[in-house]
Amino acid sequence: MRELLSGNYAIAEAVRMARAQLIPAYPITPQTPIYERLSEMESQGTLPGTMVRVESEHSAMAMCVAASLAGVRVFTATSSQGIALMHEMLHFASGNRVPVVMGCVNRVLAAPWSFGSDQTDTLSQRDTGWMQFYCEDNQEAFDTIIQAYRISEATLLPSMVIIDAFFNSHFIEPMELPDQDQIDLFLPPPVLPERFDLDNPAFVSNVVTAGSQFLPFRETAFYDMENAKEVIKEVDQEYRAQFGRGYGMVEGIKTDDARLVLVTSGSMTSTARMAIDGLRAKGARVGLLKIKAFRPFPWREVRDVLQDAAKVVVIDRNISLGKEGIFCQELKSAIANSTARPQVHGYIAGLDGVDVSPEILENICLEVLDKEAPDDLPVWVRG
Amino acid sequence: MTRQITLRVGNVETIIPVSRVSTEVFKTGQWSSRKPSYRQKLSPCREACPTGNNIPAMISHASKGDFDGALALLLQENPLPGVCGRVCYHPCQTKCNRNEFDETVEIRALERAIADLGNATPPTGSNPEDRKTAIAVIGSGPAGLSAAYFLRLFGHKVTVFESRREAGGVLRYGIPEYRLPKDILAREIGRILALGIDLKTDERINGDGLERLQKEFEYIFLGIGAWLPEKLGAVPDEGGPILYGLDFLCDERKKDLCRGKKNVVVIGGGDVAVDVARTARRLAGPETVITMVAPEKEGDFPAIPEGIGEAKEEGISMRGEYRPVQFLGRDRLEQVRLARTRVEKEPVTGKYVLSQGEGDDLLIDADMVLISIGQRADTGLFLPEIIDKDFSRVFVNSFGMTPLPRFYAGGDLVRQKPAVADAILSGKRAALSIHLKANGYDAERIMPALALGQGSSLSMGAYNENGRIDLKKVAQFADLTTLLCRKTKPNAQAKSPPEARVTGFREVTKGLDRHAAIDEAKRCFYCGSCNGCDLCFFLCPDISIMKEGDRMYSVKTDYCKGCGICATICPRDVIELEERLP
Repeated sequence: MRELLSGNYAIAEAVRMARAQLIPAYPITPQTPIYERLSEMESQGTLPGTMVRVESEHSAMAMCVAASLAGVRVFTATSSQGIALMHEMLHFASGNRVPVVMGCVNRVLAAPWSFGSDQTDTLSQRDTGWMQFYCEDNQEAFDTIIQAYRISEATLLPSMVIIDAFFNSHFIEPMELPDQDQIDLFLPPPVLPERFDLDNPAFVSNVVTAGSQFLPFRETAFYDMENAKEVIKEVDQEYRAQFGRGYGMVEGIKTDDARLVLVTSGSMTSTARMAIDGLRAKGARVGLLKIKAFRPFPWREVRDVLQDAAKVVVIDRNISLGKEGIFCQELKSAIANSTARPQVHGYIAGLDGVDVSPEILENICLEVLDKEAPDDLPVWVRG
Repeated sequence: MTRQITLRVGNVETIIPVSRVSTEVFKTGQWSSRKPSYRQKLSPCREACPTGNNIPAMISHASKGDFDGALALLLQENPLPGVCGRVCYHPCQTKCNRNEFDETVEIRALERAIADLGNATPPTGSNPEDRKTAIAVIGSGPAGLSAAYFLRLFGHKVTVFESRREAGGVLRYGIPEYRLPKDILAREIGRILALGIDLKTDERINGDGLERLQKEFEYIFLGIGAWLPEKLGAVPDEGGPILYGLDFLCDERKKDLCRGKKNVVVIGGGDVAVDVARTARRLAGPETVITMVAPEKEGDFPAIPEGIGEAKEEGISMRGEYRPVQFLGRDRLEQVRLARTRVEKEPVTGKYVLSQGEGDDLLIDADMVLISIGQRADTGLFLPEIIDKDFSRVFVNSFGMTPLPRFYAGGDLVRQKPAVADAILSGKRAALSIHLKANGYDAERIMPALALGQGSSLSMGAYNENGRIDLKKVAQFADLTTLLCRKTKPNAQAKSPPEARVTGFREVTKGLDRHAAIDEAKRCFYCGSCNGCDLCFFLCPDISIMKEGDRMYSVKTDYCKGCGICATICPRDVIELEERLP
């Protein structure tokens, strides 16, 4: 069915159709419409699951972990400070190998206080052991939620499905909503390990020994996340076969003959697609690399796309003080041990939801094409 | 819908640690060197109580409406709670920690309520050898009754000899009924005698009698009190309308002499003098001028302030810093000449020294003088080696024993504070000593262990139960947690109005009713005494406070991390934190 939906509502629809059984959540701008829409569905009797209004994001995640350990399919959503408050429990989710799916809407982390998009909130959670998927538009957000349950429940690792504040969360786009029976066919009910049994009480997150226990648990989880890449691909292919849409962990656009590859993530990719067309029309051999999966990081796929490029420019809507844009760092480390090593130029643009127009992106690309060598520090674009 | 998601991980059972055994294997308590210790302590009121009543425990029972349980506890330490609940000078209330918070708990009123409202039989003492020794108790005042009571509770054969017609001594013949009704006294004495004590009244023991008793009895307790009046010395003070206070109080014919008198002068400022004055008021009528004269300043009379206050309400006037020097009159007494005095506290010895004061003599009208300046013991019938001649008292050591090993003594016959509670203590002390000696136990070791704190009182309960209270440590106000307490007014006992009470000898002070007693009991902090409030049990984050039945907890040190929450929250200083080397 064709619908006009905001990104937040698209996620809420996906959660409903995924038949999440328990949704503990706490409101925070710009994620609140997800919470509100699910609440509305619950009051109308159309939500298959139960919502719990908890006292904080920390509690929301604690409840997700506990319910998931009991075999329940769960969902929660948050943003910015909410993610920061949840931080401790994010480690508990991955450490306890629970397939929680969480919708995240990127928003500036205070201080100073603001509301526009900035990926630093989710990227700060890079090392919590969660899978992270950055979505380009509302359709992709819907599709990725559905896929994330399949991926998480197969790998027993939690997933963040991430969209940009306002560009995605509040902008209404036309999109395709599949029928429930089609979703049910793709996503059967959860069959999770049930760790709790009233007749045989258990305790998880218990104290373990350092060498013989802790390290093996981490090592196992590390390789399970590596192997998740195969699962992500398979699930995406299956989804494409059933619904006609697929995304891959990365997407290369016009990169085959590109001297310069522009690298983006999130909603900025849609703009970049237009910029590439504009540059091509001017005769510049420029391609585009969209990075959707950030964890696990698709380093092999990134290398493949970039193997013939001479230059790469990464636009980051985030910043790691003391280094540079975070996607830029990750990309550099992905190609460090590859044979082909293009120049990597880092640009910081669009912080706090500042619009990054096709013209800006075109100008960046033209500038990089003219540069002899990349700067050591990122270039700041004020828009 | 038949398909299911295939797990793509290795062994689901080993990807996270799941413990299905108890976490008790982790002895987290070993990480800390601070441990709480659960130990009940002495309350300051109990330390101050001569009879050693377990005040917090008895009040705890009363607070739940269990007056029987409260009385049973009282009877462990005190054979005469109904008496003490009325006439005691209540040092407990002076020391009550609640004084530092709002006002003292009305402990004496509670003791009275418990004695009046409760029913209980005295607890039998521990006498594993079942040694039954024959003991003679001479005198049935508070000291004699106390000695007889505790000896009998140990199972010994006790015979009490009383020279008067009825048992009770000063309780019956000294303290007037408006303070201590006879039916209350009868009930208490009845309970003591019902234990199987042989009472022989109208039997005055003289020198020969004492010889005889030594043959019949293994030990003899002397508790004959102090009935001889101290005299004024230089002033001729006998004859006609000049009487001695205690003689007056215990002799109905002498009491009758004050009927129709217009001006009665009472010499003395002690408790007996107050009773003399108030008795005279009741007999002579409301118009008679009654004046108490004492050498101390008016506010410093040695009597309990409460009694002084009640006397004033009954129209008795006080003249401080005077002493009588002459009784004037031709055919009959007409006036008393009073000279000024000064009483000063000697800074080094603490003794009160009487000297001549500045100012003119005073003549006051008097048609009767009642002299009540103290009593001496009649030591004439005893062997000289046990008499402390200077004080006209019998000499005893710290075990209540006279220099003659088979003779013990107590009460006003020995040198101690002349008060009912102290008399009871001396009887208890002698009873314990005799019992220990009769059984061949080591009194030198046992008696100090039963002493309550720094005070002189002894706990019979501690002897019988090997009690779980640290009798040497006193819970101070600073160690209590009073956050949960509110400031409240004490439940005062009602008194009948002065104009009504001077018409007869009905009891002046009404006791607390059940409701008021429970309410007052709830004001108690239960200093050092666990009353099972469960705060430590509920607030321990390590589930390391274990309940062991009613009002008993222990600390599971294997898991206690020494956070100290239990010690901080314990309102009663029962739990303390201690450094303990691992």
